[in-house]
Amino acid sequence: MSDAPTQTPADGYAETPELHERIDRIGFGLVGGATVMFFLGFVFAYFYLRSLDNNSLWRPAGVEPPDGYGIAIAAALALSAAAFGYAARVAKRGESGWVAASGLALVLGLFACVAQCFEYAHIPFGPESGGYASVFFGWTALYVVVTLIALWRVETIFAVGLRHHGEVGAAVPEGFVPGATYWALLAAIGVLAWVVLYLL
Amino acid sequence: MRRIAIAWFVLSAILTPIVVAVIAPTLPPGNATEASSNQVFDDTVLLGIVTPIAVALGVYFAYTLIVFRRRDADPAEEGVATRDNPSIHLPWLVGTIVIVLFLAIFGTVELTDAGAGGGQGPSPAFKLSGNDVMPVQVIAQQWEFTYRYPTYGGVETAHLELPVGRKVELHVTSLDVIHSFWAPKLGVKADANPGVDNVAYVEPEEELSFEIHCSELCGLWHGYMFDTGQVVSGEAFAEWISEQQQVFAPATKVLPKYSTQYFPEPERRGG
Amino acid sequence: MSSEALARPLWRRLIGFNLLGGIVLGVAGFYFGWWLGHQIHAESLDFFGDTNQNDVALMLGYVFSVVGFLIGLGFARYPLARMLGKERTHTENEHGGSGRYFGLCTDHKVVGVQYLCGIGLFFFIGGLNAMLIRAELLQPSPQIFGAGNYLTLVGLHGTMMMGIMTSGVLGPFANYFVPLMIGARRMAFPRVEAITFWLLMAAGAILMTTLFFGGFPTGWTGYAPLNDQANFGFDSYIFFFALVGLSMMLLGLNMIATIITMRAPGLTWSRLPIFCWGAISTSILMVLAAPVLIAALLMVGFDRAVQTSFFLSSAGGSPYLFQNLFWFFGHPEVYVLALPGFGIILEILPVFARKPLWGYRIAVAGILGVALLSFFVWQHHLFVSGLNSSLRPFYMFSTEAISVPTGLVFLAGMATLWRAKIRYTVPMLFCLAWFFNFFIGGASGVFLSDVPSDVATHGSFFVMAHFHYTIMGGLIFAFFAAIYYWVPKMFGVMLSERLGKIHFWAMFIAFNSTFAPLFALGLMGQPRRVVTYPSHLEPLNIWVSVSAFVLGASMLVFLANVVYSLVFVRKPAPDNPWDSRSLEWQTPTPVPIENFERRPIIDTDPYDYGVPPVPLVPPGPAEAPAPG
Repeated sequence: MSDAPTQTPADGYAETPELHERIDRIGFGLVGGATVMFFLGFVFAYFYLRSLDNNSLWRPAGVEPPDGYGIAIAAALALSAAAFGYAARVAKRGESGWVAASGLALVLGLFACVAQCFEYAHIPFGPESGGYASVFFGWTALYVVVTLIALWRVETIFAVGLRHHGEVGAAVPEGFVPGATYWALLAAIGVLAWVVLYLL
Repeated sequence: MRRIAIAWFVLSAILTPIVVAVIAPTLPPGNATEASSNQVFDDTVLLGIVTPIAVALGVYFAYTLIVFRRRDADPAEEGVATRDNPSIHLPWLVGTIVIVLFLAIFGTVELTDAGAGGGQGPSPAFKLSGNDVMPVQVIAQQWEFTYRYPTYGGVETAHLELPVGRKVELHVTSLDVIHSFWAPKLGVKADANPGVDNVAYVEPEEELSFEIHCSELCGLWHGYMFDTGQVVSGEAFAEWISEQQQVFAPATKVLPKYSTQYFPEPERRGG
Repeated sequence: MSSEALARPLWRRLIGFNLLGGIVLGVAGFYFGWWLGHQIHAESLDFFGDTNQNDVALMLGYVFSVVGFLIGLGFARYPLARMLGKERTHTENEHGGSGRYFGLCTDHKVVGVQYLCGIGLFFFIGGLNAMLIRAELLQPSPQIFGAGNYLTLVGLHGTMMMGIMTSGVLGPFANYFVPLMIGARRMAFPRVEAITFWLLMAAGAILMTTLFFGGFPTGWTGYAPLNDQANFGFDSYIFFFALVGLSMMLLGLNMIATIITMRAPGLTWSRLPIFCWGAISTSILMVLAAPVLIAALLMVGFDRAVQTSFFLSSAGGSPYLFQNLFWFFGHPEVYVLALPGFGIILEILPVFARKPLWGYRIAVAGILGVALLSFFVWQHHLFVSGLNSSLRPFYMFSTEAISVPTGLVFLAGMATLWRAKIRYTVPMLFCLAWFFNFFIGGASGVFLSDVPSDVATHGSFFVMAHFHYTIMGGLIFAFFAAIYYWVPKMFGVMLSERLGKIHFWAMFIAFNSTFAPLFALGLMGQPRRVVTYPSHLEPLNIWVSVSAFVLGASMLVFLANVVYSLVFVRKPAPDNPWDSRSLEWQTPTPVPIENFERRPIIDTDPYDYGVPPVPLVPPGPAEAPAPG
């Protein structure tokens, strides 16, 4: 399993929480940039194919996703990001209550993914129905995948909280604020998907 | 430094005219059309710029690598610890920027001459002037080119013939995957995209036969997708096209109506 | 591994989380996914189609195969432990014997050696493909492989080289030496570092499996809609490149975070070794460009497996979408290949010129400028595609503008040689050859960026010669310079100087003799990737093929050198054989697991060579000892 940490403060290699926080901030920043570029591919596909409307098959009549699902997913994502951001702020101030808030964020995030899968079963068109349908299925499906990976991070924070539940002076998990910022960014992309795919 | 400058000056004064005047005019694709002679002219100018630069680098490296080599076996021998000389930065930057700006402006001016034979898409930015432009459609499919002459009843022929001295507007399109229509001697290259009308202009100036290649990988027999076309006199062309109209009359009747783009059924793959 | 563990019998030590377990679970995962795909296909989802090529099954097979491979290597344990709320750790399996090299190990030095061996393997497979391609082109009509297998060979060669070799410098050398250069003990994300290597190996293995599924006829660009029509084997291309993209992205992320956060005290940005600047600018491109590639490839995967129509123009999509997305990644990608070369050249040059790096600031500006501009040039790959003809002047200008920052890098390198005391070692020879090759590559790039000239040469062997001059002449020569320069530190053994020189001269001459005639072939009208060509081009093609075989033979000289020096002679390398001032050479050989006994304090940049510039005075003794 893991080796014991080898560094001792004497040789100047002590790793401070500030260093870890900084690494996390940069790491999440870069992952955020990569995520934005990834979904930018789909945003570009949406507007590009829409402007071309090849063979008049961008969006044939009847290709309308059910609005209820869209609103439910976007709302769940926004609430989840808000809950997790609240948890990070509270934890940073050293107050309690962040465990429950991050648990709520986890549940809401999972709900958004499950709702997306349910929508696929109740949608009046298939992925073969033209350009819009392609972007719709590609974007939302990959969004679910990325969200599930990101939820791992939410879950670890929640798990640390549960594990040390009731301990006095239990440490706040590392990288809480950068993680919450990334989760907010991802939720924003989810809301953007709702705006682009359902409203425009 | 002065020795380098003199060597550079002498060598490039000898080499540049040789390259520009002797080597460059022999370059493909030759002078059969306006577009291809433009391309040769571009290459000539670029070679004229690149040659002195190459000579400068060659002279500099030859000098430094010989003069500043370590001559004896003393491993501790060190070079001179100069770290920078800011007075070189500005001239160097200005020099490269001027060359780049010249290249960009020169290239743009050359490009405005009917797009230099490249495919320009459905609404060409750089049109060929004049009214008597003959449209010819190049239809690519796996793995052959066919040609439609909309002004001659939409006849579709298996080979390409063009009249000499006539301005031609090639409409390149594809029925399946992406191909690229490349006639090196005509100086024309235009990708054939399914559902896209890619326009390229050509004005043949002499009678010749030319090779046609597909220059975009298009599947198994891509290497065999080549053909030979002809540029012939106006009378010979008129004779040839009327013969083609007769031969292909039964086929022309069942062809789809002439259009700048065709959308065949999508080729879906099995899951 | 403790000594107790080492005392166990061999068969017992083979069982556990290691490469063997990874392979077993990987194969098992593949068959599970394959089975699952056929279940899905057989039952409810009829719209997936009805041919006997079940892409869903193959793709699921690959997905589960990769997951199983990673679980078998032991990558699942830590995330699962974290999900149970366990503490964060940063090291895993760092102590132990040679078993560390065959599994998950977070020691950056182990990962560097893993990368060098793994990438070397795929580099030689890719090179072998090139030999087979040139063998086929000995005659104007196909005699050996036939059209289909020939295209698969072309695709395998291009994909292997463009995919695996993106990490060719950053993987082995940056992973190994960046922490040493910046005085750090570990990378910022050690597990991420380990997973990038194993993802790359999984990708390479997946690409090789295309041979079981009929190969793919698209070349490394995989253009739509040919990729939709391509047979079964194209799915392995998708997964290969997507995994490579993921690996690249994580590698770049780790590298940036490390260089920003883990620098030793006193190592300011203006004292950072230039190689680290090469690594960081490459990493920026990797992090921002690779996700676009992954997105584009997944769209292709959707088009093939679930009948979407991203790239089918007759069903509401557009092939231009693929070309835009692919080249938006693809052009930064070629600078991902070139920029580490810049870094290596400028890093090695001062050591053997015995002079400080001249114009450090403009060199950094040049490297960053190339990285920045590379995002704004991608449509020069589409100059004849019919896309955006009114934007061509802009892309022509932006492409030519790249020669300004590249010129700064050249200036820094050339001025470093002025009044130097050049030692002609093998790494130095490769560095100097880089200038020659890259200049030819760059100058031919000026022709390609000029639209009228490009119309004549686009998609022909001219382009092929151009990018082999920049990538092989740029990256691979720098790669070998780095090998000869850093192997004494990595393996503690000197490579033979005599064999190295034979390798260099054979490779340099054969390389130029192979690729210079291709410029002429392209101008004379030979398109890329054709299995037949006009018979009047046969003499030149034979010349090129024979030169290519000599080039291949020069690689065998290199292999012979490696075997001879590392297995038979084993001449131990001193700690600092090149008398370098850079921090990585101040460590003992072999480098201890902790890298440094104490954290080094940096008070100068690593190019403290040379005597003060007093003219007409004989050179004095060496300067003060290096930092650290």
